[in-house]
Amino acid sequence: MRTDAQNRILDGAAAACLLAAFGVSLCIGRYPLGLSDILGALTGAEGMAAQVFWRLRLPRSLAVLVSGGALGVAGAVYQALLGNPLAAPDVVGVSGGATLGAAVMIVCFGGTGLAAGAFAGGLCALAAALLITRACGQRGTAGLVLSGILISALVKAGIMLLKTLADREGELAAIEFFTMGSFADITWRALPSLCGGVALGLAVLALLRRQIPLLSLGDAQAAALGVRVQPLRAAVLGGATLAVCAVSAHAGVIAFLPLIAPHAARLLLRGRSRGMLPLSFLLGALLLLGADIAARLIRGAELPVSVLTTALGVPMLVSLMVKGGRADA
Amino acid sequence: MLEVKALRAGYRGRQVLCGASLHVRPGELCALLGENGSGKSTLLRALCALVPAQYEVCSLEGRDLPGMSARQRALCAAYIPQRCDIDGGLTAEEVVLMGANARTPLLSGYAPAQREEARGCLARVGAQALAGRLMGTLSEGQRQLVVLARALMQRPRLFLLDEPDSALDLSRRYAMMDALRAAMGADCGALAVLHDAQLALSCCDRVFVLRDGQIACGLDLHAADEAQVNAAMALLGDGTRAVRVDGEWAVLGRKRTE
Repeated sequence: MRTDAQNRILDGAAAACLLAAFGVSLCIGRYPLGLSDILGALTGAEGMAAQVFWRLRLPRSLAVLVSGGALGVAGAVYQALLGNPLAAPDVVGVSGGATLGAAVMIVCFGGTGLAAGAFAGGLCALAAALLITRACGQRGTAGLVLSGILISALVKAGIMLLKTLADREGELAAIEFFTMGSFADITWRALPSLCGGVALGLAVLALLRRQIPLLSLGDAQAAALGVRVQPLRAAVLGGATLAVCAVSAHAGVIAFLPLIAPHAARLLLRGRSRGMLPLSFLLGALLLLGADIAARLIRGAELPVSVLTTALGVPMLVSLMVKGGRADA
Repeated sequence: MLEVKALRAGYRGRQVLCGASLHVRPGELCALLGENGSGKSTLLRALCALVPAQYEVCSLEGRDLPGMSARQRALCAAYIPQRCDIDGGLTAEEVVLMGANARTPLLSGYAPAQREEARGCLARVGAQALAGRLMGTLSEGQRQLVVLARALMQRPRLFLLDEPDSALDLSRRYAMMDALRAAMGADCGALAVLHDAQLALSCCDRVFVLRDGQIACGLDLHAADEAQVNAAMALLGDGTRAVRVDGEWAVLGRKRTE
């Protein structure tokens, strides 16, 4: 187990790595920037390098950092509240809902309002799952997971329907592209709503952080300790989902990150829960920056970021698991 | 202090309790006994509004217990469910601190004084050495001590305990009952579902036996004679009886059939 002091050192180290990755992310791309270019842009120099830096590289890197952190924290919250280490936004149908929302916008409105559709779709999926849980009097997390599976199935049917209706050239490709995630099209215009949604969601979680371990105890214990379980669980899941939806709206569905960042955090914390949320934020951001850098490094067409979050995440988690296993033995 | 009259509760289509009545006085440690499935846990769950219930009276110091908000109830009654799944990544101290949740404002953290109090609660159940350990590394019995400490942390008037001793070894069971008794003092009450009739007779002031959805017998152990105790024990199963040895009750099970 880590002590609180060790936790702080761990957070500091992760933050330092994050800063370095952010720096690298600013340099890498189709138009590589050097350190002098960036310094020049920051001190008011003009020209191509400064344009690339201000218009493309900085918003993209910021968006990746914020998104990765948001997904990491959201994953940790889902896992705690649903009492399941495999829980992620897809479990309660949020990713599917966002995809459906995006697909509706792509097929019916030619792609305008895609972000709004994805955002609303994800939140509606959570709301539907919570309502079903409530309506059938199913208390506890098992009922919520079951409702989530039902919503996911329903949403999948909707997506299939829209895919058959979509035209093969443009719309179908756009839907597929959404499900693979990408930060290639991020500009400053996306940042206010992305950062706003994430900040709002994380603020809810930060305010209610003391309730998260209480909710993880399950209904009977939480209620016995004076927790109003239903509204608080909805608020905490809502906060996490708000952050996820804000990300999905602009970058599509990013696979695996909400699952893997909290696991990495847990392994680094040697099983301790305290400090999970900040470290999940740092590791999520770090991992997504790494994936996005790799996506741009590979020559030719840019790869979807989900391919890389998975390709980077799995070996990282395996190595942590192997090390953790040895430490325990 | 706890007064229950004609409590009826059950699950979909199956009535488990049909008119159970009992009372717990201040300073009294009461045992709730009964065969498996007789509704002991359901009774405690009904008091905590975890199952829907109808009743004539169900009050703690004059206030309707199931009708309170979860927070109000947590301030006056500490309920320990039968199975307590707890995130293995929390330390024992962090778990005990949760007992202070109801009297801590929703958005603020725990105060340093509360951390001190949490360590004190662990010490009162003889588990001060566990304070910094992760729950995932504790044995089932150690976890039960931590959960009892969390109940103490709630500073309740009434303890409602559902088999708090099921994973404890023999000496720890008695130590737990002693710790509970010390925590109760003269003005708190406790109602504990117990499996071990011996423990109930040795440590409790009063024994309730639940059978066919009703309290078939409520026995004041300080005033009961051998015939009455044996009548209560017989409700727990054929051939169960108690004998008095050196002023203590000893429970005997069914005779061995050769």
